[in-house]
Amino acid sequence: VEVNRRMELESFSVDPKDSHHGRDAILKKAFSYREGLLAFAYAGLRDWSLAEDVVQDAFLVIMDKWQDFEEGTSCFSWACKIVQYKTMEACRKKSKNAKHVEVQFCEHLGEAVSRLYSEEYELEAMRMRQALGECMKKLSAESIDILYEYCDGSLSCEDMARSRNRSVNAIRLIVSRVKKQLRYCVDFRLRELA
Amino acid sequence: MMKNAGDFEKCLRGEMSETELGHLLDRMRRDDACVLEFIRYSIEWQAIREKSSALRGLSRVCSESMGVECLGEKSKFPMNRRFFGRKFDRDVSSSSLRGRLIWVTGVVVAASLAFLLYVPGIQKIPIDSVESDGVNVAKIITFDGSSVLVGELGIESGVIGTIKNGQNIYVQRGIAKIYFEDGTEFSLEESSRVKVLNTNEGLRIGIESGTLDAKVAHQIEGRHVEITAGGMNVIVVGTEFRVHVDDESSSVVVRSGVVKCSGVTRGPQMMVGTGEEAEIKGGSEIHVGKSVGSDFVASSPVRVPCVANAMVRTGSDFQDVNFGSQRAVSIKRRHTGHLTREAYFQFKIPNGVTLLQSAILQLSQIRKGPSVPFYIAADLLFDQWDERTITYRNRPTDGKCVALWQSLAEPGDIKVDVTHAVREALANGTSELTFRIHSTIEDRWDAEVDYSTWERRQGEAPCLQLYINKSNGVK
Repeated sequence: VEVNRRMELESFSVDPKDSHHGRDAILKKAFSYREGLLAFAYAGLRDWSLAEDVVQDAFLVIMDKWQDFEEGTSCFSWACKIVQYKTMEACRKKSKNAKHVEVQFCEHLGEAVSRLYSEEYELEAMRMRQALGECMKKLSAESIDILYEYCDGSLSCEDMARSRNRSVNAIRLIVSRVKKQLRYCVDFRLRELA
Repeated sequence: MMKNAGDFEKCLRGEMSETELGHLLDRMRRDDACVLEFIRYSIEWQAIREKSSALRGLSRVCSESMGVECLGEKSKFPMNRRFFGRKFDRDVSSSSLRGRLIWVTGVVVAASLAFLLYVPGIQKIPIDSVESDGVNVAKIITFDGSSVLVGELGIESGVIGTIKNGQNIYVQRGIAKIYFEDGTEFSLEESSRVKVLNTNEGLRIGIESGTLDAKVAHQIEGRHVEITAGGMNVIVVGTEFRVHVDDESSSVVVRSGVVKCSGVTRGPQMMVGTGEEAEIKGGSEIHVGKSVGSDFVASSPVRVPCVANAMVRTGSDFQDVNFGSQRAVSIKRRHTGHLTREAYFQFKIPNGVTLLQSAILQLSQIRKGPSVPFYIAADLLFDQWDERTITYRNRPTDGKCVALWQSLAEPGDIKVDVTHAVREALANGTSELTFRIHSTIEDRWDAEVDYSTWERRQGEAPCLQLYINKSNGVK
C-alpha cells in the first residue's frame, strides 16, 4: 500500500498557479522520502538527535524554497541535496575543524549519495522497510528492546549487558542472530511479494 | 552477507576511533561498492531503529482492532511458521514424515484442548487464577483525593499510570478511569476491586466488588468484552452500561446498546437492552426488567463555548511568541528541534449549575492523525491567563491530568468525559477552568494532531457540553 501510494505521488504534477496545492504536493512528496533522508543524515553524523534536526531543517527549507524545484526533475535528488547541505553544516559545527576526518567522511558520503544512490534504490528501500516492519512484529518484546537500544546507540553494549544480567558478547550475539533472522524474513517476504 | 558489516556497525554505533574511521574512509574512496553498501546498511539501521521504536511505543499491546498484532505472535503468513530456528523459505511439502507426524499430533492435541475449553458447561480458566504477564494493556488516571492500588503500586492522584495484563486494581478511595487502546473506557468507583485481562478473544474483566461504569468501543469480529461480576457473566460487543457487585447480588444497567447476561455456570443467556436492568441474587436466575434508577434521566446538554484558546510552542524562536489568534492548535511533543506544542482552552461555567450529571469536552480534530495513534492528555488548571499574551515561557503548567484519549486516524470530533474536573471546579466555587492539552509521550517528530479553535467555523469550535439534572437549571 505504502509503495502504491508512493507511485501515486510520483505521478503528480505541480500547477504553478495553485501555489498552495503546489507547495503541499512537493512537501508531501519530499516527506515520503523522510526515512531515507534521515538515514543519510545519520550515516554522516552518527547522532540521531542531530540527524532529526537536520531533516527537520531541510523540510523547512523545502517549504520555503518549493518554487525552486524544477518540474520534471527528481524531487528525491533535490531533497537529498538539501539534506546533504544541512548535514555538512551540522557536521562542521560538530567537529569545528574542517580537516577533521569526520568532516571528510561526511563530505565523501554526501558526494557519493548524490552520485550513486538513485530514486530506484530508494523505491527498493521502501519495499524493504515495509517487509521489515512486518517481520519485526513477529519478534519478542525483548528482542525489540535490544535491537532498539543497539541501533539507537544511546547505551553502550556494557550498559545494555549490565541491565540484562548478560555478557557483552551475549548481547552482540543476540543482535547478530536477530538481524540475521530479519534478513531471511525480509528476503523471503520480498520474494513472496514479487 | 555484507563483508564490511562489522565495521559499518561499529561506525554507526559511534564506536570507531578516528584512525579506524580514516581507514574506512580510505576504503570508501577506493571502492564505490563499499560506499553503496554502507548507504544501504545505514538505511537498514535507520529502519530497524524506527520500527523497533514504534513497536516499543505500542508497548506490546495486542490491539487487533487497530491493525496491530501482538509482538511475538505467530502470523498466518506461511513463512512465519518457520521464523525462528529454521529457514523461512523451506517448503512444507518437503518436510520429513516424522515432522508431519509431530505436526498432526500437535494439531489434534490443540483442537482437543480448544474443544474442552469451549464446550458449553465447562468454564474457561477463572480470571482470579491468572497471573500478570507484565504486558501493558491500559492507562489509568485517578482523580483528586483518590487512592488506587494497581498490583502493589499506588497511583498518585492526577498522574497517568499503566495497567499490566492480569493486574489487580483496587480503588481504595475516590474514582479511577481506565483507558484501553481500542477506545474502551471504564470508570471505577470507590471500593471497587477488579482484574483486567486482554486475551485473543477480547477483554476479560473480573469484578470482585464495587461499581464499574463502562463505555465499550465497538469490537471487531471475533472479539468481545466479557465481564464476570459475582455470579453473573456479561458479554458485550460495544455499548454503555454500569455493573455493580456486592456481597448479595450483581446487577447490570444498560444505558445504550444490548448486552448478553448469564450466570457464571453458563445458564441461559438473557438479552438486556437500553434502559433495562438485569440482576442476579445468590446464584439464582437472572431477572431482567425496566431500570427505575436515575441513570436514565436524560436532559439536553447546555453548550458552553470556549472563551479563550491558544497554542504555545518550544524553541528559542517561538517560546516568546503568542499564537492566540490561530484558527487551529497543534499538539505534539518532541524536545529536540523545538517541536513541542501544547494548547490551552478556557471555559466559563454558567452561574447556577450545581447538580451536574456529566460534562463532555468536545474538540474537533481537523486533519488526519498520525499513522500510529498516540495519547493526548488534558490537565485541569485554575490559573489565569490571557489569550493575547500567553506564550510557552509564561504559560501556566501547574495542573493535574483529568482525561486521556487517542488521536483519531481521520478528522472528526473527540468527546472526552471531564465530569470530575467540572465537579471539582464547582465544588471549589470556581467558574473558570482551563484544560491544558498536551501529548503524553515523546513521540515521532511527525506525530501531530490539530484541533480547531473558536476562531474557526462555529460547528467546529471547542465546547463543553454540560448535562444537568432536571431539578437544576441554569439561571
